[in-house]
Amino acid sequence: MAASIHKLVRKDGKKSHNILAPLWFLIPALILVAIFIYYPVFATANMSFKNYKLFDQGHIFYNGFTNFREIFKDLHFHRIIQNTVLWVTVSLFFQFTIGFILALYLKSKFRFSGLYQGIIFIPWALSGFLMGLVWKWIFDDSLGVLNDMMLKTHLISKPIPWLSNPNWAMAAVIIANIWYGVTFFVIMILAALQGVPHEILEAAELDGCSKAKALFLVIVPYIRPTLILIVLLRIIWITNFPDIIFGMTSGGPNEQTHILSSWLVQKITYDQDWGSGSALGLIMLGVLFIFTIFYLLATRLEEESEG
Amino acid sequence: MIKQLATRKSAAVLTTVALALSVLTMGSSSAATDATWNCAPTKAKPVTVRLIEYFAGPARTPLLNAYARQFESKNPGVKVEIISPSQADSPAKITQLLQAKNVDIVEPAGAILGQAMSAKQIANIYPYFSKTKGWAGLTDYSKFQATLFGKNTTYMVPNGYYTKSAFVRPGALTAVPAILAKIKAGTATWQDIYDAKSTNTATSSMYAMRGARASFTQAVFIIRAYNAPDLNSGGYWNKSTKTSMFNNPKSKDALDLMMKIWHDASPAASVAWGYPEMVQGFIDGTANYLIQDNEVIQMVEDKYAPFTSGKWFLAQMPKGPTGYSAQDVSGGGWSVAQSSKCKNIAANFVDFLTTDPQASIFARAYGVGPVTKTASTDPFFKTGAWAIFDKIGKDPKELKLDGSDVAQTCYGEFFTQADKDMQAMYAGSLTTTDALKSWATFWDTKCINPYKK
Amino acid sequence: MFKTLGKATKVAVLSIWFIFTVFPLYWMALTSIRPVREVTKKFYYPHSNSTLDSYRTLFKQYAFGTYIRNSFIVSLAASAFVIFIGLLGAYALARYKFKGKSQIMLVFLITQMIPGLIALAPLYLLLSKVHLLNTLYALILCYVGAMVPFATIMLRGFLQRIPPELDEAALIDGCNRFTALFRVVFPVALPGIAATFIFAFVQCWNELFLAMVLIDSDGNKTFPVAERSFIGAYYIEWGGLAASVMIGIIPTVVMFGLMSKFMISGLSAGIVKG
Repeated sequence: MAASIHKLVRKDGKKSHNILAPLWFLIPALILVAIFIYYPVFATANMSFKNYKLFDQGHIFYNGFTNFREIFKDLHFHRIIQNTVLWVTVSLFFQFTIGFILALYLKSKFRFSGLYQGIIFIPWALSGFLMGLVWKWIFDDSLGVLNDMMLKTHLISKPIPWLSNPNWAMAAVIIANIWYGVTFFVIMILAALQGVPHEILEAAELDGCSKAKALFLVIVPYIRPTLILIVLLRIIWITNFPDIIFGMTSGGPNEQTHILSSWLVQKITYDQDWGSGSALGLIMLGVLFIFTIFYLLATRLEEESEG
Repeated sequence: MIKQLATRKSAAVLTTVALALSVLTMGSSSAATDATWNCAPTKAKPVTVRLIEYFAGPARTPLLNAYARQFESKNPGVKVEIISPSQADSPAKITQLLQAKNVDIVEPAGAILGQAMSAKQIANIYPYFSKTKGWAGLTDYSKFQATLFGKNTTYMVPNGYYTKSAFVRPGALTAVPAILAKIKAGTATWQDIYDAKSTNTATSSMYAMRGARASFTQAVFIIRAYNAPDLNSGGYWNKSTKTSMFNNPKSKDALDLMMKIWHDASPAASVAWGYPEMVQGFIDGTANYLIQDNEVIQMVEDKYAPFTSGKWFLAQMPKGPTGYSAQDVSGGGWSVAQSSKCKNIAANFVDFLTTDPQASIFARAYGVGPVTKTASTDPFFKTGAWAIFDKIGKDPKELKLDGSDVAQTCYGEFFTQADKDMQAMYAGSLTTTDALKSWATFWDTKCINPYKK
Repeated sequence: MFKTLGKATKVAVLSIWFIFTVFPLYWMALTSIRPVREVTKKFYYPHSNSTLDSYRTLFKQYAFGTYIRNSFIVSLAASAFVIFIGLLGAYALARYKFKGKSQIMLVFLITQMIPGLIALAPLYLLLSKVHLLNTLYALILCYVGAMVPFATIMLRGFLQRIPPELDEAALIDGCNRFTALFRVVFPVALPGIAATFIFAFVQCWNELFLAMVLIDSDGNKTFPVAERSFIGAYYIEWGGLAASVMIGIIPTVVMFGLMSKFMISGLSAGIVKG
């Protein structure tokens, strides 16, 4: 492919030396991104150094790093960090594993596989916030259908305090998130698997690879770049995904089920503290940025040492 | 009921708050010279008045829209736009519109009035509004509420009163007939409510606790009952010591009992309950005793059973050890935004809404206490489920507070902080002593003490 | 032996996941047809007293017809613009070699890490200055802005899979770059474009926070904002909420059903770089 681009470059020489040509194509996108994404980020950066509370608009002033300091000093900060890590790793692990298994099964067609696929893809098409509410209702300690079912089948003898006990509540929101996010992996991995050329699979069969071996020795390495990319995107998205928690627990009880992004929602909508919310937003951006660099470095290094 | 309330006017607090506010609102020009008070819309040059509701819902939003159409047809060139955010979003939305100077009339319930007044976002409409028909029709108490922040200043015209009473499911309390009788008579104490925990079953508990948003209001109920009648007219200060009621050792007894009620007499799930969940819990029978506002009546009738079925009844809130209780009898209302470019038209619409029959139809449909003289004589508000409010009004041992403390600027911050403290207390990571100490310090240092100066 | 065991496992895994996926939706469907006073009752199958009252409420007491229309307008318009603008950018990134290209890619990638919520206040102030508040235009603009980076990156992947010889031929035939892109490359990239379109549509259809902040009037509310009306301060109308969830599923699921074949093949062309 690189060669063909070069060929094109030669034929179309005038334009390719000129940065203007591609820029014309890129300008609409760049302008939109500048106005609707980067400008707000800079405005937010400014706000994060201010005492900016909507319920006390008489006292808006620059206060240095106070907002940042107070976030790190917050009583619940450690728990929120723990929750965020737990939320991302556990959700990701199950979403990925289940997504991978389902994709493998769905790769070969069976009767009604199209219909099956269509139905299990539905969660992805729904609003996270609304599904949070739906799950909240299912998990409700006293009115919820889940406790009811488990009581009726004698799996438990008394209701599980799903949403009123912080640890159960954490489990509940993660279960809902797994439900929500598996689809993404099924779609992506299925797409990646279909991109594996038949020759490669056939070659593996000729080698007498068993199915499992072929999977790990041939297919996984082949789609590895895709997997690395979608896992990275997914980590970022799950971190920035407060919707389900916001709908199910709003971070309660006692702020014990907050993750960073749901905490941000609370700061902005309920506390109406834009200074602190902006500071938290910037911290999250910084953390994700550093994480991404390390992730990319680590996966590239690994590739190089393997190659 | 209404007249009696008016006699509880406390001159001291009003002067202080008014003083503070007059400093804040200095510079807002008088009605006569301000162009924003002299809008003259015509068909060629129309004017749009935007009103945002706090409590939007199917019981009242369509009615408000119908009023808007009526008003438009009577006033050519005027367009009224009713903005009805979901109640989950309305506080943020109202704050947002006020800040963006993009609204004419707001319904500043909760902590919004205090915030908005301190940010100079609300106009004093007294000079104009006091000459209207709507003003003339208000009850004395409504006029008192409308001028709560100083003589000849009106920042909010009441549109309905919210009164708390206890919703009780007697069927579940037959095992404690003595307590049930006291609840019915209005003499039950908070200790009685706790003692009724013996009626708890696996799926049903006595008390509908509020553990999520605004949970501290539960603490305030019981703390006030233990402090009353030693309370100022706003209900956050002790008359005797002239300091915050949270300093009073009785407040600790009260809060400790509240924690016991939560622990032993409330559903475990209630730690995550906000307003909707409490009401749902009562309707579903998860909790048998719910303290809530009058507008819940309609909800319980629709979703559970009619009042006449006898499956539930209304009682007065529990009393403290001295037989007293106290609650805010204040509530929502309409305010004209300082940024409104047509304050006279906005005030005219408020006038229209405040005039009967509009005002009384609104109160009946929505289920709030009426603000006008004609409506307050309406038998509807004295019979059936509503009889309880007449009883509350006549009970000298249930103090009616005027909401002046709640309208302070500091209240918004207290609201947020106290809610977090309640959660921490439920979780056991904060003691009642420490919570009360920090609340007392908060009120003594950050809020306006009506007894100082 | 192993084969049957393998098959049994497969059936079991697929069935369990199917039940887990469908149950919340089934439960919502049941809730949406319960009479108001029995909304918290636990019947596991439809009863004879089932009613469509909750659905009627959506369209009689609330103006859900309007909200659905608004959501369609916003989602379709925004997705179409996203595709158009994203395709232009993707074409430049896929076909040209130029200085600063990787920096531009980085600019797009970083946007994925920004918590969207922090943009709310600045965007509100910005749009109030240009008098677009409380209009569907405001939403369309913001959605396009928010989704262009991801769409550009995704579409770039698809375009890279299309042999450059294709547009070369078109150039020789007298097309310019722009017409070559839309006349020749576009039809070939259609599966990938469809996949991106669905992604964008679903995001717009479900977006809540921007719509909540930017829209005031009832007549301009979108579906997700209107759904929040069921969360009253003193009651959650589970029946109405469930009915609205059921209705809200339809457009995205139908679109998904129609295009899911496109989607997988389109994506597989895009994300696997050979």
